[in-house]
Amino acid sequence: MRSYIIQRILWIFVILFSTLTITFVLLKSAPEYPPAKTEDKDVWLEQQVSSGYYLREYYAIASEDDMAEVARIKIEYVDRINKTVFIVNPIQDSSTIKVFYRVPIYEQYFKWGFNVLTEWDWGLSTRIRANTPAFTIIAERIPLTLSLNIFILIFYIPLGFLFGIIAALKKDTIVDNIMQISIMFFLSLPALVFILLLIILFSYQMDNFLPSLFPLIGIESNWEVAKGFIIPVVAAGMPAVAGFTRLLRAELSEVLTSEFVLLAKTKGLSHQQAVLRHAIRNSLVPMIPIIIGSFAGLLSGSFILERVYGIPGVGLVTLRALTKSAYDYNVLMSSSAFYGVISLVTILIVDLSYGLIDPRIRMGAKR
Amino acid sequence: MENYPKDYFKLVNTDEDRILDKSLKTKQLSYFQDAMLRFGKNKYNLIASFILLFLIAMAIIVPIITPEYLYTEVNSEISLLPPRVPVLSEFGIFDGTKSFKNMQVDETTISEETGLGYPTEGVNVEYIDMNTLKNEIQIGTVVDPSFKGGTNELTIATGKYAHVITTRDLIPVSIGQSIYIDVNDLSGGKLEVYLVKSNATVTETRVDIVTEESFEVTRMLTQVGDIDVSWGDVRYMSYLGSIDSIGMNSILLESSGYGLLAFRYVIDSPASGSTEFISLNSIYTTNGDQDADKVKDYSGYELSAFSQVSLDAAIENGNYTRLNAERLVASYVYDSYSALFDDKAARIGGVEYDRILSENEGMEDSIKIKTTDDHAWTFAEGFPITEVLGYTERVVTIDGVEQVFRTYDVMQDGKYALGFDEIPYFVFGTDVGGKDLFSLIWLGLRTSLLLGFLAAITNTFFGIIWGSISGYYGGQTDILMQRFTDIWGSFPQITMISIITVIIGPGFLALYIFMVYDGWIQVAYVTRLQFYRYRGREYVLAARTMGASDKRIIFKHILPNALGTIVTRVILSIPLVIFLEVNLSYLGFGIGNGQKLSIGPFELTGTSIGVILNDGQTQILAGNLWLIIYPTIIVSVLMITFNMFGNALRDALNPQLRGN
Repeated sequence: MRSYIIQRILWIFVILFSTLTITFVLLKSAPEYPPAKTEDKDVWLEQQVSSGYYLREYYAIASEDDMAEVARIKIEYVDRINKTVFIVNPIQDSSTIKVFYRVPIYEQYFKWGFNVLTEWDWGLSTRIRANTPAFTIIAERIPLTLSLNIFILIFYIPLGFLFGIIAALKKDTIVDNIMQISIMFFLSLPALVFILLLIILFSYQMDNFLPSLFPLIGIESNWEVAKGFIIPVVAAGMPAVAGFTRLLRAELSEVLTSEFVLLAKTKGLSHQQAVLRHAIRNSLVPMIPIIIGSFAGLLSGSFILERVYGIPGVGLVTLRALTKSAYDYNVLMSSSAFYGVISLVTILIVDLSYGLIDPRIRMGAKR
Repeated sequence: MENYPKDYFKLVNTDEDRILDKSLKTKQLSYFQDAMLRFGKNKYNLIASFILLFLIAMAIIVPIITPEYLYTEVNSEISLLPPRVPVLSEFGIFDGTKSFKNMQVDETTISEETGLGYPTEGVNVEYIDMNTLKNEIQIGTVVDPSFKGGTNELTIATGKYAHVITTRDLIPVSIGQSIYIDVNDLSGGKLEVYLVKSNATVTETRVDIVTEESFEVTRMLTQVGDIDVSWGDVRYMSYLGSIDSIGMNSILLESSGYGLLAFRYVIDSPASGSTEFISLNSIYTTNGDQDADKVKDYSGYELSAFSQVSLDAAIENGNYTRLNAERLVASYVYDSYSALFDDKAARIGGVEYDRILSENEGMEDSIKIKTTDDHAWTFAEGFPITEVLGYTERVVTIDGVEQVFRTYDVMQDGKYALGFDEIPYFVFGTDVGGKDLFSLIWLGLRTSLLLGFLAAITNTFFGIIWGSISGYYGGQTDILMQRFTDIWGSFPQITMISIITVIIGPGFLALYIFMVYDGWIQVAYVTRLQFYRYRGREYVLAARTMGASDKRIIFKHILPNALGTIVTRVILSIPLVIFLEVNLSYLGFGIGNGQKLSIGPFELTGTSIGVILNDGQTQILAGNLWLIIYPTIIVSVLMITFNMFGNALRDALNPQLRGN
């Protein structure tokens, strides 16, 4: 068992590593977008030099030879100027012109790997907030994104259990049919559309009973912020409830035909007691991995919710890093690492949980 | 063993008829025909499938038959029109009227009998439905002259001791005048009043962002030359008095001066977070007692417009907010279409007038001169100008020749001016750019469906190949292929969309690649599973024994059995593709408005429901809800019917799954 866990963890690192490598190489094939303002650009490029991604050369404005050299460079690298070669006239020191050359990709890659592994330096952000470490920007927002998703989990699990059990108990009655229809409805409705409807209903029609955009945390009171969570949690939670209810209903119906339930009833338990005390535990076996696995799904789903509702989380900052012609590669890499780690760790936990919950799998693994 | 001679055997059946199997009475059904029978039994699924087909048909037909200008050209004149449906508008439903809420009332319009007023800015009064006009008081905190009354509250920031407000103009005060301060409420501390002498002030000209008028504001300086100004410094300040009780307070002035009046709210111990405040109703000065004529009067808006000042940032900071200010607003129903297509007054020159007359046949003949004024006449219906209100003439001598120039005051036909023959019907209304929402939605649907089907076909193709090889051969090949699929599929979606956007840029191709890069994995998984189920069957063994090649076994024996599950899975994946596409287009990664989508030789104008929703979201607060509601309904119906169709198909093709 232990070797299995270690093997899987190593596998996670391998996958994460290869994902990041591919992302790195592909992103570097596109033009570079340093910060817009000259001073920021200068600082950033200098940082790049000290991190080992760029080479720098000085040319004095006063000297004619140097100026001729700069002109020549402009012609020779004309297709790469402002993509991988930058000519900067720094404000502090206006007597020189600096030319920055980007180092070949494989060299950059090794430097980057080295920086990340030894110093946890994911580079500096270029457009989101010039010259702040990219990972800080992500790390600031992780608590908000994670808490949003945890709230969604807290919302949908009890409701899912409740409706799933009711649907299984009252199978093939009116209640069950209504539930089937609502499940179908909520599963088909895109979360985007649902959240817009909720905004219209609760914000516009009821005169801002609930805010139409996520309240700013520093300024608004805690009560306002709590109200701001309601709409996104419900919007993401209802489809999750629908999916979970459908699965639980199917699973529970199957378990209800088992013999031990019949035994429980012959011993005198009512239908409800038999279900609640015995059947549910058995139907939990496939449910727990699904719950854990849904966390990763919710995370990618909250991506769009953050954009619709203006929640300042990791998803929103990733989207801002993707605005056209203002790409912020370091932030993109950091957020890819974040999402990648979460989904891979979730998959690992799901796998391990199979063994934990169902002893049959644990026992029967080795044949 | 002996050989038995032939005569040992006697033929028993001497009849002419050969023994044959009984012929089948019923028709022979293929697998799919059988499935279709089952499919048709469930009424709900049939209804869902018909609705789905209807939607698909609309998505194909409507973009073809609608004139392109209705959904590609931006025409801001007809933007944001509510829906107007041909027959229903007669009954008052969907008749192109918009409800407006919280519109600022023009006070001059308040009628005496009803006591109600209405806005006049940008609104054509004729088309306000007076029966629906309602007024109410809107309470707000905006520092704007349209909001009247209210109290103004000075609060001190956490850890600070004071906060200051000053008037915006220099005020002369003289001995014997009194300053009256009406305090609504205060939590403690006192309000000190200072006169800031004019040598510690500076006057600046500022431009109002909204009205673009310039106005002057006099500001207190925190430093004069090298000297920091402080409250106790008599060169720059003169202390007039302080008050500390609720209600009307007064300060009698003992000297004259000219400067800014500064009001400093100060407390003894540091503030602990917005609990220390003073709330003011009004401040005014008189020459005598409280009820005498006011020299300067600040309340409501003027009081809220005071400047905030801080001389020492370490001890002075806070907030000054306006509370409970009231504004009269109206809500009403407005006939937008009639207002928009109403006749508009215009002034045109003689040359233009003659040109219009000559271009439109019959226009000159239909002139009917008005009885009251022979310089005014009307035209018949359907011409660019409906009537001439009058004209002026100017006589100019050029080169000795007298020439007459006329200018006409006319009423232009609104419909003609906007390019329509009669008032149009926009079934779903128009969006911000004046484009017809009805056409846009079907256009968006067409793009989504196209993407869905193309992605489905590609995924099926690659998925089946991969899955069948992996499932059929099993063993090491299978394990390797599975590992590869694992790694390929674990690439985070968000990272993928980032890479695609950066390298290719948003558009149909980007979306297509995104749907396809890991879409085939699902199909391959299902195919592989099916292959595992069927490859152990005896007929496969039999075929192999007879010498069938692998390819023949895969395509002729196993795949047809697996096809049912695969097809259902693919069809059920289309709603997911549409779902993803709506999301991605909303975020801006898909096709935008009016962009052209080229597939080979075909160029199709495209847009996406996601983009429509994105544009519509900004209109929610303005009350133009139809921009969100109609796309939402169409998308929901599409997804629901597609899912029902897929589920029904699955139940029909795999009857053993029924009941699950």
